[in-house]
Amino acid sequence: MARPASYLLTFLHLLICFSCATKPSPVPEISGGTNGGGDTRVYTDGIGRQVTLPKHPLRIVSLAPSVTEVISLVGADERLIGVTTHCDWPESVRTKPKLGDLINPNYELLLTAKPDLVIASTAGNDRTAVLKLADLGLPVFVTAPRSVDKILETVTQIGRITDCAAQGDALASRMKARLDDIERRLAGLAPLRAFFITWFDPLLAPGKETFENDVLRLAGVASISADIDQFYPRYSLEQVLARDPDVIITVNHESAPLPDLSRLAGWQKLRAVREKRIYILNEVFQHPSPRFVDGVEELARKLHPERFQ
Amino acid sequence: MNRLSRTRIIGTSLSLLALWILAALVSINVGSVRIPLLTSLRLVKSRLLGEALDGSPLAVILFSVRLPRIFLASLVGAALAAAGAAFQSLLRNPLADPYVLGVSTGASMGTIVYSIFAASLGFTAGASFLYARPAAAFLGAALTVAAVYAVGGGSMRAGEGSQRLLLAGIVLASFISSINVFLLTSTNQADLRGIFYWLIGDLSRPVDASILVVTIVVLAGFAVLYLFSHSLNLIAMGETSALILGVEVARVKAGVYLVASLMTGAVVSVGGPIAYIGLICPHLARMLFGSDNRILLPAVFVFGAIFTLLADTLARSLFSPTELPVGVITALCGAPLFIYLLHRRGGKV
Amino acid sequence: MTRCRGEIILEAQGLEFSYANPVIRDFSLTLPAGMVTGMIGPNGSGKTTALRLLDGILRPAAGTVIFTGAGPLLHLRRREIARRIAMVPQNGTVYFDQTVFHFAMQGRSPHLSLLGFESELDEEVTLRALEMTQLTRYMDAPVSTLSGGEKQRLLLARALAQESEVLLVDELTANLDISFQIELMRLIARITRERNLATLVVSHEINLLATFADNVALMEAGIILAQGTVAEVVNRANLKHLFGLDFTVRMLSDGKPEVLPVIN
Repeated sequence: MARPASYLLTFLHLLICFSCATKPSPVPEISGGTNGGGDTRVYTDGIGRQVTLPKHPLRIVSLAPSVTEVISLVGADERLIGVTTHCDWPESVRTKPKLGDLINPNYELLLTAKPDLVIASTAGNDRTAVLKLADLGLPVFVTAPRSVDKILETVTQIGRITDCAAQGDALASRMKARLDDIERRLAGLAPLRAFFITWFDPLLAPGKETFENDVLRLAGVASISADIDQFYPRYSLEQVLARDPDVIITVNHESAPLPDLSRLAGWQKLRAVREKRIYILNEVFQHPSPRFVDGVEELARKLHPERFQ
Repeated sequence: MNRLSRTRIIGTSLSLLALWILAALVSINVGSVRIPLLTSLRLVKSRLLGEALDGSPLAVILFSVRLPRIFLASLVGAALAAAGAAFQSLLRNPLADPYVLGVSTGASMGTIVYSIFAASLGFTAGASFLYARPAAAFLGAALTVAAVYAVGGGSMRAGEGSQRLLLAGIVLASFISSINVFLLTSTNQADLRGIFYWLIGDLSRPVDASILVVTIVVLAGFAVLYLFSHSLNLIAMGETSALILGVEVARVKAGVYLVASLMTGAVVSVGGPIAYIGLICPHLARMLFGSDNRILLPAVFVFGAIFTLLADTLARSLFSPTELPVGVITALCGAPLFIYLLHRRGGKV
Repeated sequence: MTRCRGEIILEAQGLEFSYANPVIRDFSLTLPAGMVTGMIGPNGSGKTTALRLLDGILRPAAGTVIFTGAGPLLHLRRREIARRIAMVPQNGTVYFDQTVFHFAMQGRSPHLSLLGFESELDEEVTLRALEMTQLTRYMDAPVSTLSGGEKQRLLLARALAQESEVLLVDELTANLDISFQIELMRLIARITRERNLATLVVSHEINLLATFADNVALMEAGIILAQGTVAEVVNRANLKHLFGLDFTVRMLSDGKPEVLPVIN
């Protein structure tokens, strides 16, 4: 029985090495007080829950990159004590401790960190995981940035609960102002018909209630997949061919760049491909955070450069 | 006496081919975009006569998307069904399917590895995208086949049965499966979606020139399998009996194993490991045409094409414009069908 | 090829074979045409292995098996061997059920071409084989419905359909009623004579072999102890050596011995 035993030993050895290799990052001690001031308020969060939160939270955890971005933009990032592995903007948050990723928050790290405010987002977080955190006694505020209006609402909400209400409101107004400006510049133009590729393989497109279709509208674009009830339905190439969009728009994914459509059977026959009207946008376009405005502007400029002189 | 004759085989094959043409006509018509039959016939006629097409969406859909997909579905189904029938005879096991010796798990590993490393290895836009993924899948399949042969191939020596080969296939398949799961845990969520659809079996990818290679492999493979059909009949009676009756068992086993695995690997690399076709179609065909491989193999080849074509047609038109992967349909239909078969045969196969 | 009765058709010379341990050592045997040779030996003496060596299914580590007129078996392809030598194995399995007729017709396989189909002649030969083994009435029944004894007869029918020159039979009589045992041995003896076959029958039934066989070979521990006519070989001394038991051997009126173990 020598051989199976040695395999088992090797396997155990590897297992031990593996678990040692993944060390959690240490949670820093923030000087200056524990849970903020004893002064609390009750808020209604984005999914209708009533949450009791401190008026001035000092230990804030973000469970989604879009939330992290808003927290930074309203100026509450010094009180941010934990982010996700996907949070990478702005530069300063990259050094913050990572407490899990979008779908799997690390319960142990979160509980040890003793936050007084945890902000989650329906755009990306797993609902069950987040509610479990609430059950474990953590103060969780869920935002629901499912449309452009909701994003603006989320920005003001986050501003309020982090006690930076003025900055939050100001940020929301600036965003609105930029969007209004774009709308003015595009006034009078007929909307372009576009096929937005959420993911190429398998072919996924944004459906009716998605954020993408909302944002596309702001850039003067009518999405041909906006009539489907599902969120991100699998779309068929035949439908794209039948609906003959003017342009094709997608977001740049580093791990899966869009292949050269002019060489693919069927795709190469699309008018939009033949006319080379394929636009690849920066991924901020899909962020349900204030940065999407940059995305809208980028798209609007690319589609109608003459209106942005 | 009902001895098998060339006439009967040709007659059966032609009837099935006619059925296939019928299925193809239905499939042309149906889909997220309906193409009326007369229109499609007219378009095909124009194309055959060399006339320039008007570039209408229907023409593009028909020739660039739908017809290639019909061909792909038929090819994949035919190959899997024939390989399944061959494996069932070879291994003398009614539960054998083309994946039982690890081909699909190996192909999956190839695809998963490709998905993870493609971007970092610089497979960006261009021709490499089209060929790289199927090539990676096929490589994974080929390596697994070689590994299973190395571990269990000692039983290729005649008279020893195929248990060792089968065991080697099962063990290696589950080992590679666990590697796959481990690899999957390290991919990011977006890539997972693509891999998931591939793993379930999906024929919606654009058909490109690589289909020519697959076609040649499948047709040549089928021809070789047909040459072995009588030997497979005898091997199904037991390897000793087959030897006594003049079959070079070791050679036939190695040949069938290799060819059937190649065929399977080729179609799995373009369509993913679609379930149940290689398991169900041989049994259905056997119920209709008997177990003599000389008629069963050609019959199941066309039968598999029809079965898969219809399943894929359903998959892409049930919830149009959204599409289901064909593997979902074959599983949903295949499982109850299999249970019904078992029940009807009284548990015998 | 017409053979003379008594002409040696198959000859094994000095065969040796091992699985993990040596099973066959210096095994030599001759099979003459038109005669039934019986092979007796205790369990574990290697009888089945010997049969497989004689059919070329196993390769000997040393020694050779020669088919008169065709050369050593090692130089022949399996089809060529199958046309010349037929074997009735101890048991046969059928994986996908088929009719008795089709099972028996598989015996014609060595005579078909690669892509060939069976002809009327093949059907006739098969029917005759089924008649001889009294299986005609089961012709269209699935093989799985046959009893153990009937399956054995079917294996014999298949071997007969092969129309070979050598017939090797492994423990045919194991599952049969005594009347069928006698019937089949009589059949085998008759066919051997009619077709001038060189037949080898392995059996435990000493009396049956003594009655129907022309020659007998005694096998022990992988080697042939003695081979010769029944009268020469079947005697008390040999049997005692082989089975470790006392036997009485009585010569009957027709010149065949009757063998009975002495039980105290």
